[in-house]
Amino acid sequence: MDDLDRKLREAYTREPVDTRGLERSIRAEIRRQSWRRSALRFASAAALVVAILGAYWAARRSPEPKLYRDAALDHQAEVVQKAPRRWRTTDSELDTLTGRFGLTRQRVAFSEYRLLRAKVCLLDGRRVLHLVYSSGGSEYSLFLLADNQHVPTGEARIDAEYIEGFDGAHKTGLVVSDGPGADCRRFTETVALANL
Amino acid sequence: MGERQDEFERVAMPHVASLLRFARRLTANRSAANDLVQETCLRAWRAFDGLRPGSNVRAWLFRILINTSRGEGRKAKRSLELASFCREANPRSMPSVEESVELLDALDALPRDQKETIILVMIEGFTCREASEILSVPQGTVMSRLSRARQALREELASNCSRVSR
Repeated sequence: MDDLDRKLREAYTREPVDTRGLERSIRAEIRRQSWRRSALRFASAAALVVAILGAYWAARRSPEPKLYRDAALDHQAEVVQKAPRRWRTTDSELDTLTGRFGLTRQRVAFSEYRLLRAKVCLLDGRRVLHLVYSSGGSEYSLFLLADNQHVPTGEARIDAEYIEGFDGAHKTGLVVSDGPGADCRRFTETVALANL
Repeated sequence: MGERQDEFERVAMPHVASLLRFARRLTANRSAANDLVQETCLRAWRAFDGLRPGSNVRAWLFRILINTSRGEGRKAKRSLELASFCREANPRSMPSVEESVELLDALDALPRDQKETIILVMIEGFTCREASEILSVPQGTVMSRLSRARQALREELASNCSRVSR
């Protein structure tokens, strides 16, 4: 180090610096920021807990909206608007199809309601047996899920469709009708009494 | 105080004085220097979790200070009110107060890039490699800036001496 370097260094370090006030101010700001950070973390954690509880409560309370919505759309398109689908209508076809769901054609035949046709479809990604019945001037859809699948029970109206979920002894499913809610409820009771 | 704050206090706060001296050379006044150091420390605090163990904390803090001052467009300017004059230098003695003022004025008169380099290497004792990392320039640039800064300092001091003796 030459003389210039040494002198410059001495001159530079000789200049007094009082950092006490600055350090106090830095520490105070750090404490403030730490507190804010902790508060923010606490608030985020609390918000997350509230959101989880809310979602859990909503899931417990309301029927699965997607499953119900899909059932309503299927009924509207395939039953009300008669969109072309490959329905099974003969006795032998119905025997085969119901057999795949652990049922028989006789078990899904209800007095007062005539089984018209059936097919397999997907609701909310789940494989479902779609049975269509008629009584008087109305048609009803009965969607039966494969074994061990739970459907939250409840009733809902989506657009013109009335939907009711049921949880039977062995089968769970949805009943959909575009008629009055009372008619749909009566059909649901009939299905429930059949102890599927 | 939390563990993180204790650690920050232990490794970063001892450098506040060095940072403040450096900031005073880069800013227009003491208040701006204080603000710059405070902002540097708060940025360091916020980024402290990401600092790898064993890192050179001092160099890290200087880099933050440089980036902060560049980002905020602060200008290097010092305002010491003392009059300067030149006197015969005794090569092995401590510089007098007047001589110190003269030296610091000469330092302040350097272009910012040279001033940053000469303070980091000659005064703060960083190696050229560390200074190159702090300033984000190649080592060769640090060395050439250092050489130009020394030359400019000598010329500035010599011209002050001749102005005073005239």
